[in-house]
Amino acid sequence: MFRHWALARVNDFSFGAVFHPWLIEREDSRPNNLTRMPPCGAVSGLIADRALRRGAWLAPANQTLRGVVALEPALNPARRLDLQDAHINLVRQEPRGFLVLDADTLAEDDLRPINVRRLLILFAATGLSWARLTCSSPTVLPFGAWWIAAHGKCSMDCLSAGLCRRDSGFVVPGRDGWFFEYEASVDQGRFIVELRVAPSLPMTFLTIRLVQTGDLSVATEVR
Amino acid sequence: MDESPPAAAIYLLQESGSSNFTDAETIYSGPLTSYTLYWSQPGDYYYRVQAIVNGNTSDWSNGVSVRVGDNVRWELDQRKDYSPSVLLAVQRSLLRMCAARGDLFCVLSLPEDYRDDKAIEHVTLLKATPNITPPTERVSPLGFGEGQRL
Repeated sequence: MFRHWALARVNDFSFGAVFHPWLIEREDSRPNNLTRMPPCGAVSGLIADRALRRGAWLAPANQTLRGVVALEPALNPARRLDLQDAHINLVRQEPRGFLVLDADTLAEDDLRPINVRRLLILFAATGLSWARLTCSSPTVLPFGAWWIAAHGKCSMDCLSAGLCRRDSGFVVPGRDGWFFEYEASVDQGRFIVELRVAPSLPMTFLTIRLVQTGDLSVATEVR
Repeated sequence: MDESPPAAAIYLLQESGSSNFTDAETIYSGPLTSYTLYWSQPGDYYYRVQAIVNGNTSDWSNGVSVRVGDNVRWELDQRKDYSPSVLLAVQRSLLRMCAARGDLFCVLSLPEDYRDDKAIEHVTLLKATPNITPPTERVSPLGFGEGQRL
């Protein structure tokens, strides 16, 4: 557990997200039985899977949910924007399956994307673990930066970007477009490390719908 | 390791409403070593077993007590009578815990029958601050930056 690590302006609503509607699922072992389930379980699995496979800083969205055959209740597509503005992440039926295209927390501004909050959680947890390992001297900070990069599944490019430097602060580019930098100092016997994280710009999945009517094809962008 | 009972053993099973078996009643007599019980009334019940082998009768076993609680009954409310106060309290508590710890993230769902307007209304209530909406089930809404102060 850790506290007091985060931004100067902490919004507690960024620690949760709402998903809707419910899922009607069919289990492989019991194909004749349909089960109604709230979406939180399936979405939690999706978030965990995305974090383990690709990293916590990627939006847990645009991935089909297995076993889902229908949604309940049916929501009015014309209200999608209103629901999105209310920070309700909708499970939708798309041609390739049932999936979530939005991944918003309940917070506003910078902490609205789930992946930004989870990246900050990852950095804080990893940073504290590293600090416990290497709290003896600022000269060991490159090791700490390497530790963070490794646990963040950063690429070798990241490691070669300057981690061998032994000064007290630099910027490390991450694999998927996020950056972090740190500054270390010793003040009145206290070893102080300040991590600053710049997540990649929140990625919003846009849907381009191709419609052919007669001999006229049009492309529209929908949310 | 299971130990097979002697072939000729007969078991007596007694049930009583008191721990000293003053009003004991034999509810089974036979060779089986297991017996399924069904209770119609809640209360405390006591059981003991005695074995009879080739005319030799053992002492009664130590008594075993079983407490049977009231039947749990579920009653469905009318949809119009549903109140989200408990759900709001649980979700606010979850958010508060995640924010206070700093290393947890909660994934929330809404009631199954909520359509567009009800879903938006619920999330608006969830995000309302203490100066706007009162507590539900004695759980107050989250204040801005509250997690840092916990």
